[in-house]
Amino acid sequence: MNAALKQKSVRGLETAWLEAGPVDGDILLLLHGFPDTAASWSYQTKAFKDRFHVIAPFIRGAGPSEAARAIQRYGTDGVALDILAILGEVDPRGERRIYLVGHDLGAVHAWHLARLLGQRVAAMVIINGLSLRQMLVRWRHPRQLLKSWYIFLMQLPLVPELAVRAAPRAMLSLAHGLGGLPQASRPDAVPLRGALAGPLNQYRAFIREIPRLTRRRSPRLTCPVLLLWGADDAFLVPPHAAELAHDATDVTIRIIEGNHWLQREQHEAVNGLIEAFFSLKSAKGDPA
Amino acid sequence: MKVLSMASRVTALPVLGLVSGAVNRRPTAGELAGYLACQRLAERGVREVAALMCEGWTEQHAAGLLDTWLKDHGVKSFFHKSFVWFGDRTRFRGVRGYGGYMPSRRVLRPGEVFILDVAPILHGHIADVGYTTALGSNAELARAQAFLAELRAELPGLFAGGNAGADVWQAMRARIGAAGYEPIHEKYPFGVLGHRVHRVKAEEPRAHLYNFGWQSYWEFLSRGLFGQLLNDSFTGDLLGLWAIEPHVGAAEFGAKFEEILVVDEDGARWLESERPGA
Repeated sequence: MNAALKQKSVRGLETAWLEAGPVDGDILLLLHGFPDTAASWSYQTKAFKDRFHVIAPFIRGAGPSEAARAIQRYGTDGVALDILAILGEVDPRGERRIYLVGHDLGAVHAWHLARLLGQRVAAMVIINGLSLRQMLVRWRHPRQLLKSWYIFLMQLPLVPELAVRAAPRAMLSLAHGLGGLPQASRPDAVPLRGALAGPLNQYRAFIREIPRLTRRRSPRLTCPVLLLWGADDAFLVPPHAAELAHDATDVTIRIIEGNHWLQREQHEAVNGLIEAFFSLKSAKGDPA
Repeated sequence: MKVLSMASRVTALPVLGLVSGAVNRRPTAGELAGYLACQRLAERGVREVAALMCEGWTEQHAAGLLDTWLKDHGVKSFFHKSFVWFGDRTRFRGVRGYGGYMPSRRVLRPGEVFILDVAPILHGHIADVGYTTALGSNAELARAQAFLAELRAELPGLFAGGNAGADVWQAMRARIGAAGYEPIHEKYPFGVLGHRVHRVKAEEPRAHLYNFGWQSYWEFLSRGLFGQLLNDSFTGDLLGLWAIEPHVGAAEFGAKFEEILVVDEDGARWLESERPGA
C-alpha cells in the first residue's frame, strides 16, 4: 500500500505508525482495534492517500510499537498521549485539520482523542466501536453483556497471555471467524501474532477506568460524527441515536450489511461512505 | 475541619521543640539530588501537558493526562495527584469546601489562564510544582508572572533573615496586597504559603482522599501536623525543605508558582536555582 513505517521514542517506548500521502495535507488519522495493527487500514490507506496525509498508528504493543509493562499505558490517556506525540511529530504547529477514523477499540481512543484535539477535528467516523461511556451504559442490557464475554475473559491474570502465546493462529482465527471476516480479507497473520499479548491490556486498562467515568463526563463533541455499523456484528449490538445524545451533537448512523471488520469486509462501500461524509462535511465548513 | 485548622496552628508545644530537629534533619547531597530529579520531572510534565491543551479540554482531562504522563515516567505514587484550575477557578472563585478544589468538568476557553499543580513521589522524594500559563497570549498574566518572579527572588532572603514563619507569611501578604493582588494561598486549606516535604517510604498508595494519598496525611499527622504547614501562626523552626506556593489573585484569574526551598544553617535557596523557562 506504499505506506512508510515511521518510529519515534515516546515517553521511553518505541512508537510506530504508517504514513502515506502529501505531508502538508489534511490529516486522516486511522486508529485500529484488537486484534489488529495499522496494516488493517490497507484498503483505506490506498483509497485516501492521494487526498489526505494518512497516519495510522500502531497502538501500544501492536507491531513495532513497543509493549509496556504498566497497564495504564494501554488506557485512554496513555494511548492519547502516544498519538498526540505522533501528531506533534507530523504536524508540529498543530494547525492542520484532522479527520479521525476509529474501529473497534480504536473507536474508544478516537472518542477520547476527538475531545482532546478540539477544533482541529473536522469530522470523525466510527466503525463498529464505542466510547467507554457507551460501553458502560450498554452493559446494563443482557444482549450486549453476552456479546462482551471476551472482555471479562481478558481480565483474568496470565490466562489470555498464555492462550495467545500458545496458539496465536487459533486465537486470530477464532476472532476473525466470529467477526465474520472472509479469509481473503484477513490481514497477514504473521505480524498479527506478535500484536496480541500487549494490546489485550487495553481491556484491563478500560475496566480500571470505569470508576472515574462517572466523575469524568465530557462535554458533547460538536464535530460531525458518522457511525458505520455492520448489521451482523458478533461483538456489538447496533447503535441507536438516543445512546449517543450525551456524546455528540451531530451524529449520523449508517447500518450496512456486514459483521465486525467492516473496513475490510466491505471496504469499497465503507470507503465510499467515508469519502461522501468527509466531502459533505468539508464542503459545509472551510474548503478542504 | 475546625479542629484540624486549630491543630495546625499549634506549633510551639515544648515536646515538639525537642523532636523537631530530628524530624527536620538536614537532607544529604544525595537526597537533594533525588528531590531535584523529581522536581525537574514534574516541571517537564506540567509544561508538556500544558503545551498539548486546547479549547474544550476539561480540568479532569488535563489532570488525568498529567497523572498518566508522570506514571509513564516512573512515578508510582503522589503526595497529591494533579489539581487543575481554569479561568476564574484559578483564583478559587466559586470554590466551596475541599471538593471544590478537585478537577472539575469546567471547560478551557481561548485566552484563559490555567494552573497545573501536582506533587509526584519519585524514589521516595516528593516534588510539588505549580505552573501557570494561558491558552494564547494574556498580558495581565504576563504582569502577574513578572510579579511572581520578584517574589521568588525575595523569598530566600525572608527565610534566611531570622524571621519567624508567621513573619514570612505576613510579609508575603503585605507585598502581594501592595502590588494590587489578593493573596489567594490564604484560601488553601489551613491558609498555607507552603508546607514541608519529607522522604517517603511507602510508594504504593491504594487510596486517595481529595487527591492526597494516604501516606501524605500520614506523613503530616505522624509528625504531629504542627510545624508542617507555613501559615499565619507558624512560629517553629524553619530549617528543612519547604514547598513554597505563593498564589496571587487578579480580578479574573489567579497565578502561582510552587517549588522546593532549602533552608539550612547556611541560609535559604531554591532547590533549582533558575526557574525553568525563566
